[in-house]
Amino acid sequence: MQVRKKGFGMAALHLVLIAVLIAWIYPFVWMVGASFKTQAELFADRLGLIPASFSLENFIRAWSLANFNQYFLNSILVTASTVLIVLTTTSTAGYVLGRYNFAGKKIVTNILVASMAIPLGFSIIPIYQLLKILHLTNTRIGLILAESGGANIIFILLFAGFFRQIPKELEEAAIIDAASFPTIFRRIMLPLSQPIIGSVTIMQSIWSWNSFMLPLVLTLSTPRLRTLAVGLYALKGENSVDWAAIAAGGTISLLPIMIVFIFLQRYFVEGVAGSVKG
Amino acid sequence: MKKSALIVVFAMIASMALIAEGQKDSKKAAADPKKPIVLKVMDWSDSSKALRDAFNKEFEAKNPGIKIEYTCLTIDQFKNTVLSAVNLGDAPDLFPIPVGMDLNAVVKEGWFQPIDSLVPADFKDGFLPGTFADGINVIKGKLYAVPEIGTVPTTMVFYNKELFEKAGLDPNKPPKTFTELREYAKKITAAGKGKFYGIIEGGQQVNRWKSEAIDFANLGGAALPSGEPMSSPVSLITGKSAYNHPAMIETFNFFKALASDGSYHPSTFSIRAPEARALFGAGQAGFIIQGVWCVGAWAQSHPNLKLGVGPAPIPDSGRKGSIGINAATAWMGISSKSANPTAAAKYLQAMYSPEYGYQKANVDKGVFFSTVKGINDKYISNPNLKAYYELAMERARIAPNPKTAHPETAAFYADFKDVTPGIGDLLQGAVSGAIPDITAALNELAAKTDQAVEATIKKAKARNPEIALDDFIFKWNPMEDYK
Amino acid sequence: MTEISRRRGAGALRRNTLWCWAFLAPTLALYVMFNGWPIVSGLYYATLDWSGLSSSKEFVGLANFVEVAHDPYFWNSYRNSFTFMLGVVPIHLAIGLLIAVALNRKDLRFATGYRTLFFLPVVTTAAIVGIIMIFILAADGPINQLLLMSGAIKKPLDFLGNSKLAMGSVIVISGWKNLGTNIVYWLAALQGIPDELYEAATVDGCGGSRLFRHITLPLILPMGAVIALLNIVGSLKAFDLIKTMTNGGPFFATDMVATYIYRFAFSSEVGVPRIGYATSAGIFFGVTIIIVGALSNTLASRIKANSAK
Repeated sequence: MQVRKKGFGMAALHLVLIAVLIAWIYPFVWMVGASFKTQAELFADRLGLIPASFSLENFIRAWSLANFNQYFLNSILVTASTVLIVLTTTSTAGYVLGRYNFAGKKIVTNILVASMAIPLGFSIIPIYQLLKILHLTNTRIGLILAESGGANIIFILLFAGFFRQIPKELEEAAIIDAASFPTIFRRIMLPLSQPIIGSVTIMQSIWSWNSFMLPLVLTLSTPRLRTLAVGLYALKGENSVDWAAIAAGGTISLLPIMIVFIFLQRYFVEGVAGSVKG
Repeated sequence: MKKSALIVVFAMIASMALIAEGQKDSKKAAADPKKPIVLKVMDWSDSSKALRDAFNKEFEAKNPGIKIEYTCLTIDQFKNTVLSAVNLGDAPDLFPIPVGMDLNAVVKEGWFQPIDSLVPADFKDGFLPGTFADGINVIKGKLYAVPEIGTVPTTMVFYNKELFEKAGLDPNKPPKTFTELREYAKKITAAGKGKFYGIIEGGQQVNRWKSEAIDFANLGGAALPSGEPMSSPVSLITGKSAYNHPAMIETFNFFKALASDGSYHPSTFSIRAPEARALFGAGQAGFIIQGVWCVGAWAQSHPNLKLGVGPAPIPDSGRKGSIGINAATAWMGISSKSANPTAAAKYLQAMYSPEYGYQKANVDKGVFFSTVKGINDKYISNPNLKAYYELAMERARIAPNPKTAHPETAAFYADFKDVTPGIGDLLQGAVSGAIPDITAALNELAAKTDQAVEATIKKAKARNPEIALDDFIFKWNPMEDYK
Repeated sequence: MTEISRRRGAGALRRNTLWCWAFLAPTLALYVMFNGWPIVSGLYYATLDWSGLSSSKEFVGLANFVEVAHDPYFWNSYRNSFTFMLGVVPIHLAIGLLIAVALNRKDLRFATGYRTLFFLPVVTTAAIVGIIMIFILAADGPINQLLLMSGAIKKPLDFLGNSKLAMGSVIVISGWKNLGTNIVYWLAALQGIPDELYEAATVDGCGGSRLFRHITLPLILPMGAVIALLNIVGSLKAFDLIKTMTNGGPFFATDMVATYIYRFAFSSEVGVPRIGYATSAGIFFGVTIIIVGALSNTLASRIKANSAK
C-alpha cells in the first residue's frame, strides 16, 4: 500500500515540475530558436520556436561583431580568477563572522551590512581613480581586483549563516588534537560548506561573466583585454538592434556558465550526511 | 579528489591569466620602431557602423602606418565612460561632444584642440553653407568640431501604401493635417480588425515624443527650438515658455485622440524605436512618425515594404510656423591630449572627403544626409529618401540660435537644470492615459520652466553680467528663414 | 569538557582574535578599496552641484538632499521600489523554497536536469528577456490569447503599457527570472541539514509536512533570514530588467530609485546631467533603508526579549 502511494506521489511531482518547466523555459528556448532565424523572420513569426531554416549566419555575425575570438578567453580568465579570489575572501570572512565573537566584530558586521543598502551606481569614477594611482588601469589584474571587490558582502553573509549553524561538536574533536585555527578551517569547516561554495561559484561566475560597465571603462584603451559582455553590447546600439545576433550571442555566451553550473551539481548533493557523530 | 578538481582548474586558469599578462607586457617593452600610429575613435553612430567599419579599412589601406581602433557605444554608455577617460587621461583621439554638453563648456575644460592648424585652409569650404557657426562648433573663429550629418527634421510621417489600399485610401495622397491623419488612422485600424493598426510608436522612448511635440507645435507657431540638444528652453520669439502655447495643447489633444480612437498599436508602450520600426516594416501599422535613417533600415530588413513618405501634419488651426533647424551642430573633435593630432586630422578630413566613400555610401544607403557640398544631390538614389528630404525641408526653416548670437549665454547652459518631467514625458503620459488634465499639466510645466530660466539667468549674471533674457528673444518670422 | 576549557586560556583567546582579524583582512582590504572608497566619494559627490562631465564642481552642502526630499517623483520611485520589493520577495522566498524542497529529494530522478532548467532564466541575457516578454505579453501574444479564449477578459490587456498593470507584470517577470538563484540558495541551506535527523524523525513516525514544519523549517531559518535579507536588498536595487522592460514607464508607473538615479545622471534636454544630484538620491535612499533596517532590528530583538520573559 505504502509503496504504491509513494509511486503515485512521485509521478504527480514529476508532472507538476514538467508542466511548470514548459512555461518556465519557453523564453530560453525562444532565444535559441531565434538564433537560427533571420531578422525579418524574427518579427514575422514572433513566437514560433522552430526557425524555418537552421542558418548559422547569426552565430557567425555575432562571433565576429562581438569579437568572440579575443574576448571569450578574456572573459574566462577574468571570471575564473575573480571566483577564486572571491571564494577565498568571503569564506574566510564569513567563517570568523559566523562562528566567533571578537573585538570589533559587531562594528565590522554592521558596516558591511549597511553598505549593501547604498546603491553604488557611480563607483566607476572612484574605482578608476584608485586603479590609476596604483597604475593598474588597462591591466587584467586591475580588472580582476575591481571585479573581486564588488558587492560580495552577500556571499560573506551566506558563508556566515551557513558556518553559524554547524554544530560545535565538530571542532571540539580537532581542538583536543591541538589543531590550529587555520587547520580547523581548512580541514573541517571549509569542506562542510560545499553547498555554499557551489552557490558562490555559480553566482559570482554569472556576475563576472555578464559584468559590463567595469570591464568597459577599465579596458578603454586596450581592446585586447575586453570581455565578452562588452563585445556583445556592440550588438545593441542606439538606433539599430541586431536581435538575431544578440540571441545568437546570448546563446553561445551562456554555455560556459551552464557547464560550470552542471559541474557544480555534485556540490549540492553531498551535504553533511553522516558528519555528526553521536 | 573530484571536489577539489574544480578548484584546481580555476587556479590553473587564474595563473594563466597572470602569466599571459606578463608575456604581453614584456613584448610591449621591446619597443617596435615600426609600430603603426593607433588612432582611437569613439562615438555612438550605430546606424552607420557597418559603413564606418568599411571606411576605416579604406583609410588604413590608403594610409599605411595608421591603424584605427573604433568603438561604438550607446549615448548613455559614452557619457559614462568619456568622463573617466578624459578626466583621468585616457581619452580617445577623436570623439564627439557628449549630448547635453555645450561647446563652450568642453573647450573651457580643455577637452578639444582647435582643428584649423591641422587642416588645409579651404577645409570649411567643402561643406554646405551654415555648417559652421560661432558658439556651436566654432569659438572666436577657431574650429573645434565638425557636424556628423546635415540637419533635417526627424518627424515626417511614413506610411504603408498597401495598408492604405486595404483601408480604401489613395496610396499617393498622404494626410496633411491633424484631422486627416486621425481619420486615416481610424480607417486603417478598422480595416485591420486586430491584425494591423493605424499608427505605431516606440512608446518607451521619451525623446521621440519630445521631438514630435515640439515639431508639431512649431508648425502651429510655438517657435520653440527643434533638435537635440535644445538651444533654448523657451520660445525664440517671446522668451517665455511655449509649452502651454495653444498649438502645443492642440498637438497634445491630437495625439491623445489617436490613442482614444484605438489607433495606436497595442505594443506601443512596451517598445522602443527599433522595435516599432521593425513592426511597421512587418506591416502591423499604417503610420509611423520617424526620421530619415529608417529608409535605409527598411530597405535592408523589409525590402518588400511599400513605403510612402508624407509630411509632418499641420494643426487644424493652420500653419503659423515651421520646424526650426540649425544647420550647424557640434559632433566630432580632436582631443587636446591626442598624441597624434596630425593623423587624427587626416582621418577627420577623410571622413568628409569625396575621395573616400564614406559620405557617398551613407547617403546612398539612406543613413543620413551629408553636410558636404554636392553629395546629397548626386548620390540620393532611393526615391523615398529624396521625398523625405523635400518634404522635411519644406516644413523646416532656419531658426535663430542664442548660442551663436550671444556668446555670453555660455554661462546659462552650464547652469541650467531641466525641469523634469519634461515635455516628452508629458506627451508619453498623455497618450498612455496617465495624465487626465493636459492643459493643467502643460501650464505647470510652462510655469516651472519660466521659473527655472529666471533663476538660472540670475545665477549666471554673477558670472557674466551681460547675460539677460533678451539674449533668447529674436525678431523671427517662423514662416521664413532667420537671417 | 573541562579539559578543553582549561586549554582555552587567555592566550588562546588572544590568538583566536588575531586569527579572526587575519581571516578578515583580505575582505577588508578589498572592501575599503572597492566599496568603502566609492561610498566616501559618493558622499562627497552628493554635496556637489556637478554634471559628472566637467571639472566645474560647486559645493552646495545638503542642497541636493533637500531637493531630493522635495521631489514628488523621487517619492514615487521610492514607493514603487517598496511595492516591487514587497511583491517580489515573498514570491522568491516561498516558491523558491517549495521548489528547492521538491528538488532536494534524494529519490527524485532527473533532479540535476530539473535544477538546471529552473536555473536557465538566471543566465539568459536581460536584453533578450526584455524583447521576448514584449512578444509574450503583446496584444496578440499567448497570454492574452489564453485569457481571451477562457473568457476572462473581452479585450486584450496591455501588460507593460498600462500603468495599472505594469508593476504587476514587472514583479511576475522579475520573480521568474530570479527564482533560480533563490532555489540555489535554498538548496544550499537544505543541504546543511544532516540526514540522520530526518531518519530519526521518520522512525518516530513523523511524516511529510510535519517533518517539514518541525525539522526542516527551524533548521533553515537562520539561513532563511540571510536569504530574505539578500532578496530585500537586491530587489530594492533592481535595475537591469526594469530598464529593459519598461524604462520606468509608462509615465513613471514602474520607476524605481535605480532608474530615477540613472535618469538624472545621464539624461538632460537643455542643460547638463547631474551626477551630484543623482548620487545624493542614492545615498538618501540607502540611508533611509539602513535606518528602517536598524529600527526593525531593534524592534525584533525587543519583541524576542519580551516573549522570552
